[in-house]
Order: sequence, then structure tokens, then C-alpha cells
Amino acid sequence: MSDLDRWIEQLKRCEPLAEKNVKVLCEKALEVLVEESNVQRVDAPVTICGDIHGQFFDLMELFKVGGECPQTNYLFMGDFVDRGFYSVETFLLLLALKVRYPDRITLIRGNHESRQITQVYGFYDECLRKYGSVNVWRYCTDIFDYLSLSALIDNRIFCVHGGLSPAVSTLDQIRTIDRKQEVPHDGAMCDLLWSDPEDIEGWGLSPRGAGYLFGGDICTNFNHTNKIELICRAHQLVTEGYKWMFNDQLVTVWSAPNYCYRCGNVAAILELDEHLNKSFKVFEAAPQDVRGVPAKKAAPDYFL
Amino acid sequence: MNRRTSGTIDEPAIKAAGSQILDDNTGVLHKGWRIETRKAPISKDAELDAYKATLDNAKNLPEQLFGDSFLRLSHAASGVCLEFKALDALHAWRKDDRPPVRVGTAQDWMKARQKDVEASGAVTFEYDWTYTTSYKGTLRIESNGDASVSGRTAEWVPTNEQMDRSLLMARDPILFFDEVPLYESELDDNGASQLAVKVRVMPECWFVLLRFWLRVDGVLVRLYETRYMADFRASSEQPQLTREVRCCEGTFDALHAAGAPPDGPAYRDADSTSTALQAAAPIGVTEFCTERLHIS
Repeated sequence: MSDLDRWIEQLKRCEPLAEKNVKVLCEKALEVLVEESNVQRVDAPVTICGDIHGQFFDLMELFKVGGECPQTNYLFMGDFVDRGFYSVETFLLLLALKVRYPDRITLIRGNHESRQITQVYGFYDECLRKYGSVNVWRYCTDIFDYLSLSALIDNRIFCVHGGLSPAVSTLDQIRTIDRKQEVPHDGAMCDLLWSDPEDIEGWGLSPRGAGYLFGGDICTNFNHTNKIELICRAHQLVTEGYKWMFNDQLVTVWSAPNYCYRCGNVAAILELDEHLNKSFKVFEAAPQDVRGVPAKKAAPDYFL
Repeated sequence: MNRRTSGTIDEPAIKAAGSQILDDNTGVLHKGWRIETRKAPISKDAELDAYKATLDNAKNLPEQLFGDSFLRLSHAASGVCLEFKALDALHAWRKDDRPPVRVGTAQDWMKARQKDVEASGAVTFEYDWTYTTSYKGTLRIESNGDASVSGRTAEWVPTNEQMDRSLLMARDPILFFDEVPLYESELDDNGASQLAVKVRVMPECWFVLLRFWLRVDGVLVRLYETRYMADFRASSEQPQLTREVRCCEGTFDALHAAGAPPDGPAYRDADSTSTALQAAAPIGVTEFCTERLHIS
């Protein structure tokens, strides 16, 4: 058994890798990821997944429902880390699978695959807690910079974490982005990872003062210009696991059930067969006894 | 799959107090009060659409909205019923008129995109995305057909009497405890907005803390707290209810200048924010009052 296979077995038991092995894994992953396009080509059949957010045992549930990699070809649309308790194990497992089976799993970047965001929302603290240093966080965030920005399935389905950008009307414009950097505050790369569809006409600005919203007409134009039939994205919690918008020209997929171990929501993955026929598989969180987190029963507390 | 989780019940202590556990362990009957919680999964898309319509066509709602969850405390003899529900809190959010908040990166973001924004004709989709609410709970009189109760009114009147801290500090058994999230938004990864309520029922009192907590990363923090206490020691037919409202908020710059920690781990959750804000008080305190429930 190779080191890599052994690491995969170890990670599947939710045991983090030793720091020196993380370093080696990340070096190997870099060699694979650096060759990928900003619009990575993917062939159907493929199973598309949305946000995971460190919910390792629910990712195991996802593999139970969708089939193991490499038997099933997977595309993950980012946000592997933060919020959940097992970002380290979740990301390293996906990365190890990527190195082992580069043509059977595609990982694209989410807005949480960033140095800045992971320092606020959990991954940084988790690395520090599990390894006693931030080296593993450094290795992982350096790899984040090499993750592809989007994927194109059989030239018909465009997959991206967030959404569209006014700076991008063609896929070729995405192909020219220099992605190997921290997610910037400006430019198309930021928009692809952060923007949201909204029931408006044209482009909108988020009331937060940063972030684009795009309406159905924008989506129609983009799909027409690029001869695609569907935009598939993640980024927003949708309570049924998936949500169609804009006359089925866009779908949001969410793959973190019982989000933050509290929401009680279901999750979904989107299976595409070789003819791009779509079928959603909806699944629930892993049962309490296998997920290894303390039962969510509130401990009595003499709060004031 | 039953996704409802109930609160924590101390059965021996409840028996010792001569009180009862409600069916399905949803709460307790204690000293004439029925105290009940429900924790349900977040509302689904169709429910959210219906809520938006009742909320004056709100454009957006918190993505984690626990629309079926509640805490209810009702006192049959007086008809007093106090309830905590997300929808009522969101009605208050819609009525509250607050100046817009912008995230820390807003200026840089806009500067870098001036040309694109102008060319695309993008307009700002304005609403209070922080979901800040002045909600303090829902009070009503439930007559349940009892003529001696119907026609009564209840109102909060200011008082100089503070809550009896010693009663709250006493390490008496907690007969019933629960924490109910009502809504939460991740603000698209720009911080957190959260409304939650906690309850503990003791032999001689019950105590409730409703808390709205907002952190906009690098910009500001808000903590609006409403505490309720019912004191069972007085021999009165009317419930002895006190509430204390305390609202704190400020920009991280102003709070830090006043002695509070800078933005960071100190504001990770509502509890730590509460501790951090105490370091700057009274700077940041925008409202503080104590009231008693007057029934007539």
C-alpha cells in the first residue's frame, strides 16, 4: 500500500495526518492543481456537491449516498473548511483523493478557501488546536491559491462557487485570470467566489456595500453567450438541499446537512449521467452515534 | 427522523418540588407556570416565502430562521403569557428604522469597481441585512374563557427595584433548562447576527435571557439583552415579574478606545461579547431600564 493510500485510509477514519505528511501531500497536490485551467474541463457522468464546511461525518454520509471516489466521479464546488469541527480532516481527505485520482475528483475554490476568511471562521483555530502550530494552515492555504475557479461539464454546464461578475461575459475571460493568489477584494476572481443570484433585473449591489447580485436576465445572457444550459453554484444555504432559479437556468446545491449541527436541514448532491440527465439525491446528517460530536442537548447553566 | 430536541429536565428535582413534566418532555408545570420550549429545524423555502409575505414583502430573511421554534411561559391564574418567537422579532425588525450598515471592505470594494458598477447600472438592493431587532418578547393575556381574567391588561412600568441577584446566584437545582435559537444569519461571511433565548426554571424563580447579537467584522458590534425573572417567594396571586433591558453597541474603534478589546476572538459569540463590552461600560450602553409587570 502506498503512502497515499494509507493516508486516505487514515483520513477516512477522521484521523488527521502528521504535519510532515501534510507537507508532502500539499507538495504533490500542487503539481496536480497547477496544471488545471481556471475553467476546468470535466466529463459527465459526474456528481456535483456544494458546501461541506468541515462536517466530516456528513461528507462520509455523502459518499455513502453518492458512491465512493473513484467509482463515482465528483465535483466539489468549494467551501470545504470553516464552521464545522473537522475542516482539517475534510480538506485533507478531499485533497488526498485529488492527488490519488486526479481525473475522478475536481475541487474548485470557495470563498472560505482564503487566508483571511479562515482566520475568522474556524479553520485557522482548528489547525492551531490540532497541531499546536499554524504550519498546516499555511500548507493548506498555500494550496487554496492553486484551486481552480470553475468547471465546465461537457461544454454545457458551468459550475462556480458563488456566481457571475460584470467583468466577465465569456468563459475565455475567466481563463485569463491569474488565480494563483489570495482571494482579492476586487476583480472578477472575487466576484466568482462571492456573488449571489437574486430575483432582480440586471445587476444589483448587496446592501452590505460589497458584493454583486445578478438577476435572471444576466444569467440568460451569460448562458446564451457561452452556449451553456445551466449554471450550477453553491455558497448559499438552501433548506431543501437544492434550489432552482431563473426558469431552471441556475441551480444552487448545498451539501452540508444539519448545518452547524443545529439547523436540521437536509442536503443534496446533483448527479449527472452521461447524457447530462439530472437527478438530485437528498440526504440527512450522519446519525449522532457515528458523528463523534457531543450530543446537542444544552447543558444546564446558571446563566445571568 | 425526529429533529426536535428537548430541553434538559431534572426529574428528581421536579418531583421534589411537587411539580410536573409536560408530555414529550417539552417543559414543566411549576408554581402555576407552564414553561414550554420547542426547537424545530430551520424553515423551508415555501415557509420562508409565506413569511416574507406577512412581513410586508421583506426581500430577504435570515437564512437560518427557526420559524416553528419558541419559548412560552404561561400563568393560568392570571392569564399572563410570555412568548419568544422569530416571526414576532422579525416584525419588529421590519418596523425598526436604522441607518444602513456597510461592511469594512465596502469602500475598497466600490473603489475598485467604480467603472463596472457604472457600466452595469447596478443599484443597491437596500434593506436592513443585519436583522437588528428591538424585540423584547411577546406579552399577552390569555383568558381561556375565564371571565375573571378576560378584560385584564398587563403593562410594563418602570421600577427602581432591581432583580434579586442572590436568588439568581443560588445554586439551587435547575428543574428545566433550554436554549432556543430563533434566527441566525452569517451575513454572507461578514460576521454574525443571532437571536436566541435561554430559560432556567428553579424552585423559587424562573429566569429568561433573550439576546440579539450582531458582529459586523471590523466594523461594529451590538448586544441587546432582555432578562425576565419571576419570583415565586411572594405570596401573591399575581405573578411577580421583573424585566431588565440592556442594549449595548458601538464601533470596534470606539469600544477599543474606551478600554474594550479590539475586534477578534473577544467577540466570537454573544457570551464573550457580553464580557468584552463590560470592559467599556458605560460607554456603549444605549439603553438600560428595569420594569415590573403591572396587571389591571
